[in-house]
Amino acid sequence: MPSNKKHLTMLGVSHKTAPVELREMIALNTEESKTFLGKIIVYDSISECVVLSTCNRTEFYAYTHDGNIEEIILKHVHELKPQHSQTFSLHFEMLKNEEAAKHLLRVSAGLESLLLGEPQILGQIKEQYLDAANSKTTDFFLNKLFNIAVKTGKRTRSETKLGEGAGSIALATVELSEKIFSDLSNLEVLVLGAGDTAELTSMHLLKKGCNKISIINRTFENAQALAKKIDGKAFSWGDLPKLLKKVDLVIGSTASPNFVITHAMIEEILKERKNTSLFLIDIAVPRDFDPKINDLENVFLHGIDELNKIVDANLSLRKQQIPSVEKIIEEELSVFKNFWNYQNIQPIIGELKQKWNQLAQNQLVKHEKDLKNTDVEVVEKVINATINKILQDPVKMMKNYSNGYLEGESKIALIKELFSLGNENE
Amino acid sequence: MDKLANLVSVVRIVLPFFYWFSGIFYFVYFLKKKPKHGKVASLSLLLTIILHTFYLVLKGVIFKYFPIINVFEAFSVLAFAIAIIYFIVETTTKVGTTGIFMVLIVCLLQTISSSFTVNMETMPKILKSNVLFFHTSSAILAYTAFFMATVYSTLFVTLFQNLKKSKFGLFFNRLPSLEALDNMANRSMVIGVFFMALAIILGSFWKKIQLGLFFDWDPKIITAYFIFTIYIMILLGKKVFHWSRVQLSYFAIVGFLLIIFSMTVVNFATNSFHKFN
Repeated sequence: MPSNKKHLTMLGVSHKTAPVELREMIALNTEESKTFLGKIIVYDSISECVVLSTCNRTEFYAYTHDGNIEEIILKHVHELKPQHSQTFSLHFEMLKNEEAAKHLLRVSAGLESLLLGEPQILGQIKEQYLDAANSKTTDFFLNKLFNIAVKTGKRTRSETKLGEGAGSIALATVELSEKIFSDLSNLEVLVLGAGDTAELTSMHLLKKGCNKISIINRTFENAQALAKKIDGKAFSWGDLPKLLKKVDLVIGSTASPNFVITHAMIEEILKERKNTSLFLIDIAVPRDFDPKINDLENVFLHGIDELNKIVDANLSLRKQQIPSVEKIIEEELSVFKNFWNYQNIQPIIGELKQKWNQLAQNQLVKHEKDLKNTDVEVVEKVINATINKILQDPVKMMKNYSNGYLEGESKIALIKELFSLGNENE
Repeated sequence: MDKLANLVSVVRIVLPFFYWFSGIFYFVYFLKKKPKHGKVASLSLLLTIILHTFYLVLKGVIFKYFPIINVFEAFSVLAFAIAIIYFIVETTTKVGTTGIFMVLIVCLLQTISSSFTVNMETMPKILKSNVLFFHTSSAILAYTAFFMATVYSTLFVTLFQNLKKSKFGLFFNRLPSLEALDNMANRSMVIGVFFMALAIILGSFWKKIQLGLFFDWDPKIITAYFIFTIYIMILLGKKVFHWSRVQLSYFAIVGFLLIIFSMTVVNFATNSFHKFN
């Protein structure tokens, strides 16, 4: 039989506790999460559960009767992901109650992200909480917790600058482009190279609505493969001069040991571009563009050092926001704690009212024969009103006790003892 | 009537303080970019515009003329036009970080106007004309548009230089894109050229009615034609001569310096008939 005391448990792995190989292995997709939730919710000890699984973390939030649900969760993760080694459980971190709630709020705010203030996590929390709600594995408790977590994330983004500015080289490329061109959806982009950085940068541009991306690579097949992924077009090196005449942004990310774009090439091409701006981003090491190109008017050339400068400045600004974000988290956590504490005393208040009403009813039945019918109704009203009046102050005090955690708990225990409450399950 | 005239004087004195107050909030918003500062800045500017409207209407009603008949009154109307057009631009584009540059010049114009304006008890007969009213209004709108073009052009050059030299500081973080600044400067110039043309035509027409000539070698008129030509050149420069945007921005700044010259030196130091009083 489960005890009355309920717990919030967070069990999970993240970039802080596990290597990427293990995180990849444990990560659950939408279908796997649904299957997991379906299996776990049948346990009597588990009232509610939400799975949060992203590239950098897989976490299970459960509201339970029993504090020790680690084994149950790990058993079902192992069922879904049997390929991991026996020692995988060593990488799991477990947090309880207030610590678990605070952790979720920190995750939502972006303080726990690999890239501080990373904005996608908020959407992922919303989405995966809704998946759990649709699977009917959440109720009042986790509904409240996740709503507060989402609110914390939103407040962080609107009240602080934690999510501002690019936090990676690829995003810094987009940020720089936005300082030159007002609408990236009209932008014609040429990507030189088809490696990981080229792909990542193209993906970010694509997300910003930029859909005219051309790719040139020494190995044409690689250019084609990337073009397919980003819905772009692959070209051969021979097409380079033709493309340079019409594109707005060129990203260099080849592995070439020499400059692939020279000062003379751009000088020649500018004559035909009728003074329209040309933006060049060099993320290749060794560099793809001759740095002298930046001396030409209407050409902007930025290399990896400049991009790093933007990223460093943004990350430093984000770090300065941490105290403000932590203040928001404390405020929202306090709202949640009040809610939770009230949930703990609500059954006691109910039981107290019920008990006294029952006593009053018993006395009324005993003396009913001495009273007229109309008198019974009046006496009943008087008794109910008196009980409510008497309970008013103790209820208020209990609410106050419930907010002051440990000390309050002992006082509430005393009230239970004084009025013989909470003995039904014993 | 005396009480109302006193009220006009009081509003004239407090008006610059309201603009400076709004300017301080725009400055704080530019530095910190916190939405609450932006909201206070916009709200304070709106309140100041309302107060300014009240001032111009009250002055017009009491003294029975549109208060634009001397250069200091023109400064106030110019400040009013810049403030109101900027406010519309800010509300529609949701870009408030350029506000400080606009409001700063509004503050200066209104401070000069409030410091030197005197209420004209009687209006010269020669100035009682509908054509003149539309001429001066068009000129003020043209100057407003040219002023905005100058601010956007200056910001364009600043951001351009910052990007060229890889300076990723306050201007980089706060200003909209180069393309957006270019578009705003261009649109302002097109509007300015339209109203300037209208002002020149209406002014010539008025002069013909009042003085029997369409044109004479008045310094103010010569400067106006010169300003008009410069802005026409800027607009054509991009499309026809393919001048770079930076070159065009410098031209726009020179054009506006000429406007300032026209409104100050030409008005005070020459024998232009535009002095009126």
